[in-house]
Amino acid sequence: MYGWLWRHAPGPWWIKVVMFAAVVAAIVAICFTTFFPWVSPLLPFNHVTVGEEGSGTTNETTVEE
Amino acid sequence: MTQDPDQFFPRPRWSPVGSGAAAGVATATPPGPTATLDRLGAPGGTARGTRRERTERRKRRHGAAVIGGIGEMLITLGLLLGLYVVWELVWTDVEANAEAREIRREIVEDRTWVEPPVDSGFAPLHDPAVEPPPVDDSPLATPAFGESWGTLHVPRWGLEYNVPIVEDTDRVKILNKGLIGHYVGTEGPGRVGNFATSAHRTTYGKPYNRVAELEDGDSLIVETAQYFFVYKVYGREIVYPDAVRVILPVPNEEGATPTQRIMTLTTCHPMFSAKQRYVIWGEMAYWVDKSEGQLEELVGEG
Repeated sequence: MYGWLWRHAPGPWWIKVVMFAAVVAAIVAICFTTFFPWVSPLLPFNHVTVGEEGSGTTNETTVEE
Repeated sequence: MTQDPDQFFPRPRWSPVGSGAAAGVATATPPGPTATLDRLGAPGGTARGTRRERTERRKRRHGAAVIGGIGEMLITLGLLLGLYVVWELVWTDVEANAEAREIRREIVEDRTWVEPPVDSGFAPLHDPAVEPPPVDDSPLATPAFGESWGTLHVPRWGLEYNVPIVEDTDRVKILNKGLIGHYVGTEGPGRVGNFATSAHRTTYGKPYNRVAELEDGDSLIVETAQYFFVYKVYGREIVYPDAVRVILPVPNEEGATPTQRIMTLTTCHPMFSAKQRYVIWGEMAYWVDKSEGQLEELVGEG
């Protein structure tokens, strides 16, 4: 996959390096600003209140806050 | 073009399609398919093999590319997960601390916020049993969603520790901003009953990161516009997330009439997990009117 991208990217090697670095930076930025904040509430690592819905270990016994 | 193709596509030693060297001991090789015989007829020779060999080799190259691609995707996925952990444990703190600082600044700059007079010395400590704190019990005195109750100081966590407490425990809108959330429907600070709060322990500014260090008698100091309410830690419990009994007006006693002024801290437990909740209780020991002076335990050594 990466080999294929490298072979098909235009320009000399240093342009490719710059280009790939830019793409990686963009992906990291998108993850940090949009993707991770969106996915985080769906994961159960950060539940701190009692009687919280969807906290994994509770079901019918859950009482609303 | 006289190179042995096996140099590039090594075969297992037991392969009936022997390498060039194996040709010398051809008699020892069991009779194989025609391909083998062809090769034996021209040792180290034709180099390209039969059509069948070529197709096989192409197929194998194809398979390797597919498996390599899957491998690269798995590595990428691994890097993304690692990146997520970095974001969760480092970046959320950076962002939440900035937001919490901003909100604390707003609270303190509010015109009703009283600053203790600088040269006034230490304020007298009022015993709530003798002089009930003059808190407004009316429902109007409850802040709206996301509005502030005041801030929390915990000397055990450092004198600079000062985190806003706001109404509601909404995870995304409040707790993820590095703030302490107040359970809707529980009492306000200083009132008889349970002032129950919740905050993150390992991420998003982690206001309750060091709950496990609190010892009995440690102060939990709620600073409001006019007062300091000082609660002393008296108990802790690790419970499952459905244990709403811990934030009842009298913790763990359903239907009891409260007579004490309690503060509750809840956060996740164990750290980096959400399996259980760590709960700390404090009971109000005294209160201070900020206009009467400084709270001694919040004044540093210098």
